[in-house]
Amino acid sequence: MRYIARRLGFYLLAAWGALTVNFFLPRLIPGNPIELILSRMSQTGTPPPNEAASLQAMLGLGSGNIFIQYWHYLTSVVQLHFGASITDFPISVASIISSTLPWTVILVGVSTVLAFTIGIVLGALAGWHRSKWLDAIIPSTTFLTAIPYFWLALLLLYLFAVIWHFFPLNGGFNPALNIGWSWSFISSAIWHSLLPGLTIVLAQIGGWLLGMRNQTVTTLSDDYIVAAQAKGLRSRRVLIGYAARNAILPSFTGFAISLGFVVSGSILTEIVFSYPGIGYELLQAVQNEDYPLMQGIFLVITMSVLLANLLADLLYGFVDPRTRQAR
Amino acid sequence: MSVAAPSAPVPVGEGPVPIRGGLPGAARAAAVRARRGLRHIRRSPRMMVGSIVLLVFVLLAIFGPMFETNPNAFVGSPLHAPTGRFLLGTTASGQDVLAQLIDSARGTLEVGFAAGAIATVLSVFIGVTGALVGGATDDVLNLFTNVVLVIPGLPLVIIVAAYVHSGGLMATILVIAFISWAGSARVLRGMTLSLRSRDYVLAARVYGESTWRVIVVEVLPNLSAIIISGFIFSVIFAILTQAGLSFLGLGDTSSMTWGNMLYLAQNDEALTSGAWWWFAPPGLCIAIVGTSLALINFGLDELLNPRLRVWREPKAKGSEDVL
Amino acid sequence: MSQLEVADMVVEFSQRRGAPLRAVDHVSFVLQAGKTLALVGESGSGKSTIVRALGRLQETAGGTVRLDNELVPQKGRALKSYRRRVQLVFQDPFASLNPAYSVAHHLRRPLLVHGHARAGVDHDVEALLASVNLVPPGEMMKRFPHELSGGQRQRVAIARALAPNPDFLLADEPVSMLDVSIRLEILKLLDDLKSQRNLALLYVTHDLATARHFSSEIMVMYRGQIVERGTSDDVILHPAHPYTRLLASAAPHPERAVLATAGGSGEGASATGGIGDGAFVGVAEAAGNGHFSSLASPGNGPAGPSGLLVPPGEETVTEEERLRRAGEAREAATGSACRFIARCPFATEQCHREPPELEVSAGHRARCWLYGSANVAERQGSGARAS
Ligand SMILES: Nc1ncnc2c1ncn2[C@@H]1O[C@H](COP(=O)(O)OP(=O)(O)OP(=O)(O)O)[C@@H](O)[C@H]1O
Ligand code: SF4
Ligand SMILES: [Mg+2]
Repeated sequence: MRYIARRLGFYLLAAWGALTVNFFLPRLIPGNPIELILSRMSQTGTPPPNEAASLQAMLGLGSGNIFIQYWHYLTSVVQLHFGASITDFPISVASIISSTLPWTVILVGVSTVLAFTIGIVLGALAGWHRSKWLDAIIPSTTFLTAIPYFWLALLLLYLFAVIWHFFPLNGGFNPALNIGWSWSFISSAIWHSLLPGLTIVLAQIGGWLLGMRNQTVTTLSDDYIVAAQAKGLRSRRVLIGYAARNAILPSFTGFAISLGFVVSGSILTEIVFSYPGIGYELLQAVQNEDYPLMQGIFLVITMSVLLANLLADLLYGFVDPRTRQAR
Repeated sequence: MSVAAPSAPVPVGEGPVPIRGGLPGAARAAAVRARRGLRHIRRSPRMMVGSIVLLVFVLLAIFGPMFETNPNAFVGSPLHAPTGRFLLGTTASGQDVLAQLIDSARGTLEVGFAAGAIATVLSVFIGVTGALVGGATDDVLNLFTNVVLVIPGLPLVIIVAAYVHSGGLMATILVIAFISWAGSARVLRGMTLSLRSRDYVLAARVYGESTWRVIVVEVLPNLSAIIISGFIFSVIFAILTQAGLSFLGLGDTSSMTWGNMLYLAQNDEALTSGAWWWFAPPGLCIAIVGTSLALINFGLDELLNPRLRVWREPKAKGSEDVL
Repeated sequence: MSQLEVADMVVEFSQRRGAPLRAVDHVSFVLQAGKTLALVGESGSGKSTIVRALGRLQETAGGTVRLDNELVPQKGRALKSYRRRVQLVFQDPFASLNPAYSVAHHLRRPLLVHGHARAGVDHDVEALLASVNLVPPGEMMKRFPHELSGGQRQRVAIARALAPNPDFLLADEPVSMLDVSIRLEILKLLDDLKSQRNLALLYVTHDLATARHFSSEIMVMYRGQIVERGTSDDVILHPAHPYTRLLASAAPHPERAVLATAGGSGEGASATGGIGDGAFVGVAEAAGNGHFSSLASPGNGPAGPSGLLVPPGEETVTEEERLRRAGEAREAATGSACRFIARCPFATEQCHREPPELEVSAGHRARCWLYGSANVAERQGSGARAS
């Protein structure tokens, strides 16, 4: 219980930190952004009378001293008042995010879990069967981790879509279909997500594999493993029951750090594939100087990452006996 | 690292000035370490390959532009596939891709090493200080480190870049440095915490060595391998982040980088027009430089964790039998 | 005559939950020039904590330390002269030398810190190396820690401790990490240095035999308290406290072992009993062979020797149970009963109150109710002399 409370407290603090950074950022915009935004909004529609106040709160640029502004900002963010998008005015930022977020969560979520699982299993095996040629091959997985995500995406896109016409060139589904729970739509969505997914899996797998392999090698030379082997336990049991369980723990802790990479990488991947997720939307917002949308997307991405981290931590606490005891 | 600053003033002009007591030892220590380092490079093929490849790119970045003509000049027909004259073909506006590639090496490595260096200084300062000072300072710094660690970097950089507009090279470097120091700071803190209670550190305190001398002379040298490894990691990270940022059109455009090349290629539809010679080489270069750096880190890892070694040192005499 | 006087030293470590752990509880003793005081006790009893507190590496929560009747502060500039006079030798020779530096660095620094001129410092470094029999000194001072054997490293560590020319040397298990064959050499070296330099030596050890051979007095420590103290012969040959008797019986043949060590044979040292983590096993065997059962006075059924044999049994213990036990242990450590009560075959009602140090014979004291004036005569006849 204590462990859970501590982690929860930490992520709340991190969330607060992100919110605060986000509060100060709009101050970097030259000129008066509110007026700028309102004038651009009025090109596509009539901003409602309270839009100015809502913008001020959201961007932390309202009246009063900085503390009052900060307070207005926090209260409006906590109530999820992100205001309206500039480019797609009068559609609200919240609705844009809620229509793009699922695409990203499913794509990134599924491929991350896949990459993690495959990487861990292969890594454990590589650490177990330490042979000369495997040891020699391992460093080449570093090559995979050093490749820029988006370039790998470009390459795959070029090969599979442009040259071989195997996968679709861009998008998240066949635009001729209606969005809905129909089989044709879902299968088209899955079909479109394979190449971006493959990119994310390929780019991540090397890191997990390597980490797990090193951890397994280290764990295997620990005394208790040697003892287990000496007891004559079958090697498969030693690997799964003893070594893997202990070697996997650091990978969980590494998750927090890697998730930042994953999210960053998948933003770029989405952009390459024009995938209708939140990363692609972020680029659109940046290109259109759609500040409210940018702010909203940044916060949502950050909060999702924090949430995913929290989940990973809780899972870790469940796996690691030391934290279980402290619970 | 100059660690041999003597604490007592050296007597000057009192007959023959003796060689300063602190120096020969430290100098020899440095020499021995350098020699050990070299031997290690020779014996770790990964480190060897990584070092050589990196060296080639660094030399290319330094001397390459001297031999190239203006890489932005329109010298050939647009989107021409590789030929004898243009080994890597031309861009959509007929520029020599190879010339741009070589020119970009400098910009890319500059950003990478500059941001990496700043991030490393930050991480050493925050990680080591916290662990050594302890108490509330450590708690606060550690919390700060962990918060920065979990907040995803690229979205933040994108937003900042979008707000600042073209902040220039320095802004890019600073922002990247700021989001990449936390990982190494955490590792350094852990290591410092463990070094802090090593018996040799305690012994130095017992014979009355001053606190700052304990830090600089007894602790820091033993962190150097980790600091270097953290630096290399930061450089990889910085190069990748910079490439991503440029690819989005948010990077600094005053100097050519591999990321900028990819951005231009993407914008001019290099992909759909099949101009692989334009978009493939820059990414490959990034990957190769990244890999060479990672290979060097591999070697360092083996140095730090002997159990991962492919080659083995002669085993030390058994001394495990503890009462 | 220099002396270091420790009075009522208390050291506490804060714990995540509950009251702080009292690792050292009102410990008092005196170190005198030219004498060796041995401190023995099982793992975790607080021996190293005392050494660290004396080395001013660990703050004390109570008590005083006086050096030649002057109060020693916890920290600050005023410690400088104390630092020169009190030095430590650590247990692990592999951790006590900085891998980044040569032997010369390790010896030069303490010399320079304590005001040695830079000129001629290497000459004195060589002299130090020679004094710990590291020859040839000129060659040895260039070596790096990884180029030395465990024994050689420990000699360097001893030389480093000698560099400020201290009056007090605190050696925390100086040989336990070394190869059996060189332990005696190192102990002899310490003993010789003590005589040559008129040092006061605190010798922390698990090994009763060497404690008896190399020290004039012995203190036995149990869970933060000194439970018995006296001359070496008194404590080893006529152990009074039930805990000391247990230790003595675990070391199978103290007489023979000591003879062997005196003869300088490495084999002898290996035969002496340790009180480390293996102590339980040793006790079990000893009890089984009847060594210990002779101690258990008849009619002490329920708290008999079997109570001593409970193995830790980590694997089968549930989490809840472990927490409960940890809680008990803490309570026992701060509670009011005799700390040995759970393992003691002689425990009586009286033992639920904490015993004071009681006199066994002149200069020989034990923290046990058995030596309350009413009990002494009765008990001494039955088992106190068994060994
Ligand atoms: N830094 C610390 N923080 C918390 N508790 C500590 C610390 N150092 C020691 N302790 C606790 O204090 C008690 C005494 O430890 P100490 O190291 O003094 O034992 P010891 O007698 O030297 O044992 P050993 O023979 O194993 O060296 C132990 O219960 C230990 O867990
Ligand atoms: S006081 Fe009682 S319980 Fe404690 S050691 Fe003596 S006899 Fe045993
Ligand atoms: Mg100890």
